[in-house]
Amino acid sequence: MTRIPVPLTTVAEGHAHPTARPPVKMLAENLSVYYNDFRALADVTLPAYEKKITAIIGPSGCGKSTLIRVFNRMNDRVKGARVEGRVVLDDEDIYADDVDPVMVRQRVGMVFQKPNPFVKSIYENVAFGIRLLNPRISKSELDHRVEWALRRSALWDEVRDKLKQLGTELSGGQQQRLCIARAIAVEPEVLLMDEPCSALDPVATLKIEDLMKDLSRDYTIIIVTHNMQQAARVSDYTAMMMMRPDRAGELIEFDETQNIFVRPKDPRTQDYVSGRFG
Amino acid sequence: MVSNTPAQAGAPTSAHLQADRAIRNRLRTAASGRIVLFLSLVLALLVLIALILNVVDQLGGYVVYGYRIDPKTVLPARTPEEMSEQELRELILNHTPQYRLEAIPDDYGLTLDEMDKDQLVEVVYAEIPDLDPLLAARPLSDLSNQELVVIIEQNITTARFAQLSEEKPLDQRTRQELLDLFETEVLEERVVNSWRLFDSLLNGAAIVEKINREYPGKQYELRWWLTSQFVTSPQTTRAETTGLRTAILGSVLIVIITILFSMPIGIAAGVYLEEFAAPNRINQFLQANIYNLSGVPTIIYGLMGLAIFVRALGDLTNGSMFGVPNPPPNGRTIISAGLTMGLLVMPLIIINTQEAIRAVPQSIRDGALAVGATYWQTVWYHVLPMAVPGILTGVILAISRAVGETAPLVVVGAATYISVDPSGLFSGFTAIPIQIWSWTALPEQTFRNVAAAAIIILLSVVILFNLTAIILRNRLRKSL
Repeated sequence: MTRIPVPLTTVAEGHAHPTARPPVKMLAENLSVYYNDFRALADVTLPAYEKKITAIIGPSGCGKSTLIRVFNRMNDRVKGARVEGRVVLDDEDIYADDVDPVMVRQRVGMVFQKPNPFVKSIYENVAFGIRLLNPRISKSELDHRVEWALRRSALWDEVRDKLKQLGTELSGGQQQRLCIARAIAVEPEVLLMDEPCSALDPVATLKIEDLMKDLSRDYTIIIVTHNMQQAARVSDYTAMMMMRPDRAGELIEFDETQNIFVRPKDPRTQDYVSGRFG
Repeated sequence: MVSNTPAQAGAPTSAHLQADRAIRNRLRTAASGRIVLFLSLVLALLVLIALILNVVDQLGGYVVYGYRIDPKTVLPARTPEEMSEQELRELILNHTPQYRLEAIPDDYGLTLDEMDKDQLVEVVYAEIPDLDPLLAARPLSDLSNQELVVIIEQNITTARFAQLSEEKPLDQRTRQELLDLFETEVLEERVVNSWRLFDSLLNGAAIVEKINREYPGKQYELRWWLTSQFVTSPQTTRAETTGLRTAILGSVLIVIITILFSMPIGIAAGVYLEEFAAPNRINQFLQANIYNLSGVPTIIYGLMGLAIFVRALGDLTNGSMFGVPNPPPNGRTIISAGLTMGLLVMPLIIINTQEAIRAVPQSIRDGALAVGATYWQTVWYHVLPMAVPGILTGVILAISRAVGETAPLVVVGAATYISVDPSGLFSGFTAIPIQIWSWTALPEQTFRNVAAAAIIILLSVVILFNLTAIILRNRLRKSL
């Protein structure tokens, strides 16, 4: 199995429109993840460029979710999970011994596959993270921050009159935007999204995609998606993953999204994006 | 499967849809299997209904009252001096031998009709051979209150008299109260025969007729044993007057101690095991043994309570270390019972807490962690509040278990007869199941009636708790 060298800072040759790439915000380097003896990810090297959307695509079981959960150490509590290699956030290894995962997660927020608002009011859903960071925040400041986060996630107009209502009573799409508001309320630098639209209908999906593009002006976004059209629509860069014969996931190609979809180098990527399998 | 493809359109369909022999056999197996399952359910229900009916059958029925003590043997006799002339004459006429009767006018120089009272009294004493049994007891209405008090005092134990005086001095009681006391305490009015409830309802006329034939003049009624008076009266030695108050108070105090002891510890241990314990061998060993503990026979818990709380910590559990005046000689007290029961239900609370916490979706923990909460904050602010209904369900089930548990209380030393309400944590006690147990062991049918009433109360309490738990659990399901 040949390793795919990933161009990090150099401009790849042969691209139709080679562009200078922005600085790398997060980087997984030679990353392997084990669950006890099972190797789930093998030698993945993946950059996430600052204020760009990086999509991770690939067939089921290829380790996409495992990979994205590594970026904010959500696998820490999974029994038997072990990480080899480095994951760097602004030149700091987030798996270094002296790093607290809580600090990592304050800078790297996450939105999950299934909307998971807390069974509390809409207001409390957003306010929870803000209070954690700043327990003595004044009521007016908190109100202000909650409103900001809800506006930023394009939910404010729909919920401004029912902030006391349970977050779980909103529609699926609204719940997912509430989860985005909850994530950005603590002003992270990176936003991880693990198939954020897979439980939503097309209209709600479109709203979330618009929101993602809007958010990428301020945040570095990594998104896992099953939906290749979604990756093509929203992302700037795309990573293609596959499962090796030993069932470990590997990254077979990383490039600007248009290159992945128009001129993939790897024939497997070609087959996947053209819908021949997966 | 419906298919419109040409390849299948031409295939013969009707023949394929007929049940063939193999299918019929399978369907027959399925039908008989279903019947067996249904019959099992019916059988279980029938047994349960039989059990309940048997209890209800003893809840009421016709009873005939009588006195255990003949009033004549207790009431003071009337001396001849207290009788009227007419009564004296009748006494003489009826009880003097005929030859003496004929001799009276000669011996005394007067006929009976001519004698005055003094002379009649003289004749009575002289002529009636065995006089004492003939002297009628004085009717109750004749007796003054003071005389009644004296009679009561003479015919009951001094301890009982002191107890009654403590409740209310006898000379301050009304006449009616004294008469009641006389009937219950001295004459020991009691049920001399009784019939079961369904028999009484179905064959009432026949039973009444039988009562009138066999117990002429005796009081009878269709008595209901489960009354408000039964619930509120203290325990006495007689089924007719005994009550469940002492046992109810004992049970309530025991359950309060049980909950105060086992709820905080059980919930904390459950939260720790489920959320914080590393999955290492020690914790797996602990977990396995908590499951084992929940299945340990309850009498073993009783023996443990006896060894630890009654014996080893006796000075603590009888209150002497806290300066309680007149402490009991050992730790056979309410607090020992409550702590023993607490140990018994703790595994239940731990396991139920763990299950309630496990039911909180993992995504909630992820959501809280992802905004930068520590694991403690995640559990405290999100997991625990969502698990509360489930945890409460477990606690309520534990309470209902503690209410009905008997064996450990027997071992720890519940008193089967105690007529004073528990005065606090360090007093002796009895509990509802203990009372049922001791009453059913007594030979008199009436105690079985009383036990049936207590069983109904205990069952209602347990069912009430379990219903609450079910309702809470359903609410929890809805909210998740």
